Amino acid sequence: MSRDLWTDPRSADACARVTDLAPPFVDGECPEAVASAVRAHLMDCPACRRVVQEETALRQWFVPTEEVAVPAGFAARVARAAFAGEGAADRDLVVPAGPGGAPRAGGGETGRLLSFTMALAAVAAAAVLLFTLILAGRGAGPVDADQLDAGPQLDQNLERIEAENQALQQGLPTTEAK
Amino acid sequence: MAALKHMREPEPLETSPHGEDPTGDGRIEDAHLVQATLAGDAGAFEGLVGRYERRLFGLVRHYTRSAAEVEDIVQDTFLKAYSRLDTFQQTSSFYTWLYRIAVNTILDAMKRRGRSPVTAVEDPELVQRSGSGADDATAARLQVRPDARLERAEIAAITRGVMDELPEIFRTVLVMRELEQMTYQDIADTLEISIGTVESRLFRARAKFKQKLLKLHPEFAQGAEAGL
Repeated sequence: MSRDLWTDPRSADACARVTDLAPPFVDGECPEAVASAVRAHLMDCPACRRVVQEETALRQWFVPTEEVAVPAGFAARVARAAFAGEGAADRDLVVPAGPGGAPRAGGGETGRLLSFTMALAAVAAAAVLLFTLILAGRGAGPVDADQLDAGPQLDQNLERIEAENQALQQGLPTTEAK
Repeated sequence: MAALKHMREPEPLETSPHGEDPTGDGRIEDAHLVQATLAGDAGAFEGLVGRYERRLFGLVRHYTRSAAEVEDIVQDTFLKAYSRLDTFQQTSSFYTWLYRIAVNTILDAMKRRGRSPVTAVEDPELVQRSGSGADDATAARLQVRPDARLERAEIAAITRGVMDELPEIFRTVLVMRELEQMTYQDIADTLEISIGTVESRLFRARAKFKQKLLKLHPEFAQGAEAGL
């Protein structure tokens, strides 16, 4: 028996040490030398025996629970889900197989569909915005030089006006006067 | 506190469905399955799942009675493990690593259900302040032992009811120690805390459990004069 833990097994210091050691002692976590010293102390100390009994009594509440039944095919389902790229998420899981045996499309399918829909909506919104900007740009953009060209008719009119002006200056009758 | 012995030898693992383990060491077989999974072998991952599914189902059952929720959480755990498999360093056993993921997944699920995962703080006086001084002193003196007439299922139901009232930080260490029979070293490795912290949390968790039990079921208290 180790005497290293306390100088006098009947001292208050020894009782304090044993009280501290009671939980790991009951849990079986004490080295054998320490456990042996505790056992020796308990032989002569009713107060510390009570402490150990309290620890033991409390542990009696933790009884082994009943066997847990794992659903058939669970491992195979999980492996399939993992290799299909389905990540763990709050509700983004493959729904366990129904009575028919085949896994139902569950949260994973819905999650991907939602993401796709949102992406599609974003693309559509961007396309509408771009189209609107293009239309707005056509209405307010700079005038094309070709739009200003009225063709040969304008040249002819300008020549006639020039001829009329010259006639007026020379006192000749003009076309308007006729 | 006297030095405590370290982790016991790990309990034997189940035989891999992928064949015999030539070394007889489950951990080497786990590493082989992990490598095969990373190489794209779905069957190897199925083997890992099959090896530990029962233990994880048992663990999660300590937190919820809903079969559907248990299955969701266990599946979630394995999917997370798969996604992080390349980060498994093999410095701890595969099950310790998997167990850690499971505990975090459970706590996340409890949080979604409205249970705060950590309501206890490291203040060592918290336990003393959590109830009236008289209640704590009384609880400390009393033995709280299941009535011998209670059936095992009744005891389990009472315990579950009390555990439901505990902060998750306390519930977790009690589940690991009392129900999963994990050593202090295993608990420390899984939760990535020191053995001293394990002891401290267990001490406070048991004190809290006893206090709650006496409040909910004062009929189980035995006086200080009893038992000696």
